[in-house]
Amino acid sequence: MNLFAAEWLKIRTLRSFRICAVAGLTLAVATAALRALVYSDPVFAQDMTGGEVLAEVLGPAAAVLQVAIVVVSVLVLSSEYRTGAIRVTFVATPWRLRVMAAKALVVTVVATVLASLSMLAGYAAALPFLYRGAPAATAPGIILGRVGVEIGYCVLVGLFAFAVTIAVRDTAAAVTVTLGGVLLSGVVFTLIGMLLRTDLTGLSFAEAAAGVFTEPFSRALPALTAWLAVPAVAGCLALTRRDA
Amino acid sequence: MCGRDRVRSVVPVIEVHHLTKTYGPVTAVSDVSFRLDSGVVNGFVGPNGAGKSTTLRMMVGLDRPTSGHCLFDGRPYAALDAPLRTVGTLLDPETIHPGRSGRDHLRILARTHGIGRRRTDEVLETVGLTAAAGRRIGGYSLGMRQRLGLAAALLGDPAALLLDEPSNGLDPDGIIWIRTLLRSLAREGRAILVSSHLMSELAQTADRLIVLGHGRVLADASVTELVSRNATRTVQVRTDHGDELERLVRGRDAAVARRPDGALEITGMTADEVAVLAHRDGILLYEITTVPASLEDAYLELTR
Repeated sequence: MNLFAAEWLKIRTLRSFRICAVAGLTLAVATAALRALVYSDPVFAQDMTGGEVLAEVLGPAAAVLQVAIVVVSVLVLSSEYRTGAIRVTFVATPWRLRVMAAKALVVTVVATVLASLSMLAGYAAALPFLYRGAPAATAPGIILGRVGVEIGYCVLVGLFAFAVTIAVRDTAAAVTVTLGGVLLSGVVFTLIGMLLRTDLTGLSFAEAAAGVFTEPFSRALPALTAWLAVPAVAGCLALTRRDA
Repeated sequence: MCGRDRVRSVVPVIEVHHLTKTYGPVTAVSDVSFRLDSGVVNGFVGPNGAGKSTTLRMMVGLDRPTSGHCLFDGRPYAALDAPLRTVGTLLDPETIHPGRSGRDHLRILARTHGIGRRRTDEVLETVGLTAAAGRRIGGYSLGMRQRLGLAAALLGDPAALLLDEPSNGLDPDGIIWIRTLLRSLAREGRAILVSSHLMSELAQTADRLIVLGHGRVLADASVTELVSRNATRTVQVRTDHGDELERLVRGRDAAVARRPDGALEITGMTADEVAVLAHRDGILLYEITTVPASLEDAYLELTR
């Protein structure tokens, strides 16, 4: 618990974290409101269910938020490597894997809180603009389910970014690799699937991360496990064997 | 408190056994062994690149030794329950996040060991940083960062301190302050290892010196022992018959050097022997002085 408290204090006292969090939250809410304006027009909204409209509004908001979450999750570790402060951390706490576990917990909490606030505020901001207040007439379970999927997706993106950072130890490289994995893996797997005449899109990070919430017993779970475990295990092996 | 009990201990606090570190074909540290006892300021001295920092990093587990190990109260660093309460470490003062305040930096370290805010304020006061504690570290001078690093090392009230070049960046007042602080911490019963590449810096502080050169321990002895074993006394002479005396002295297999002011510096003979030699040949001496060997001479002799 001491370690988690220390790691939380560490990220909380970084100005870059506060800027990223506020920017991510603001942009996500603004995106939800702007998308809602589009669906205020009956031409777009009248044939859609409330759940579908909600997905069209919150999906892009989560997509914008995920960039901020990636940056924050990377900063949790890379800022220490950049400044060399990781050595001070490992002198105070020589159990390196425990330090990484505490940092992963911080990433999970930060991503959960940030995504929850953004999605709920985005929903509240979007509601007044939507055609006939479409989602308001939708069952609360469907609304909460939709919001929950977006929050869960953001948390998984944060954990993936953190796992990549353990492996590459560098801010720019970690952000690039993470965004590449999140945004481009779908296209790459589609192309590979076309060559092999099979559907591999479900193996992409975005599909797997969304799939674990909608179809938990599909191949989404092993695919997502691989996305998270490969960089994390490779990074942790290097971490325990290399000099700090 | 547990830390206070430990500092009264008389058993060796830290034992380094045959530490070796190689980077490919390069051996940075080779078979380094020593032990640090309570209440002693140990100087860890050697030229740049001698392996001092690498040894310190291996001691606290930052670098993996190729072979050998280091024990703190009989346990490796990673096996300590609360490392900051056993060993305080100051390595590189630049390895601190510049975006945080000094107080936040210490609070983060304190949290890892459940150390309270009061102790954070205490160590800030000890190192004279209370007024600057709320400022971002990026705006600190090197000397202030050294003081902050020292505050972090003292945070857990440890029984031992490992300090890598703590005087770097300090002004003359700061250097005197750190000497006094180290002496008083040793009097409290702590084992202190303080590294430097400047012997003059340690001459007034250290009780014992571990001299490192090319990654090896060249000497591990008290300051007095080191000087008597490794430095040569010089006899300084002023006379109008310098050439004549020089010829006589060289005939006795002693070495002579000329100073810019014409005086002779003779090594390999005592002042009495030089005086007798000069008197025998009727050479008038205006001055004959034995220049005591310095720690710096001993160090240069060892690391040459």
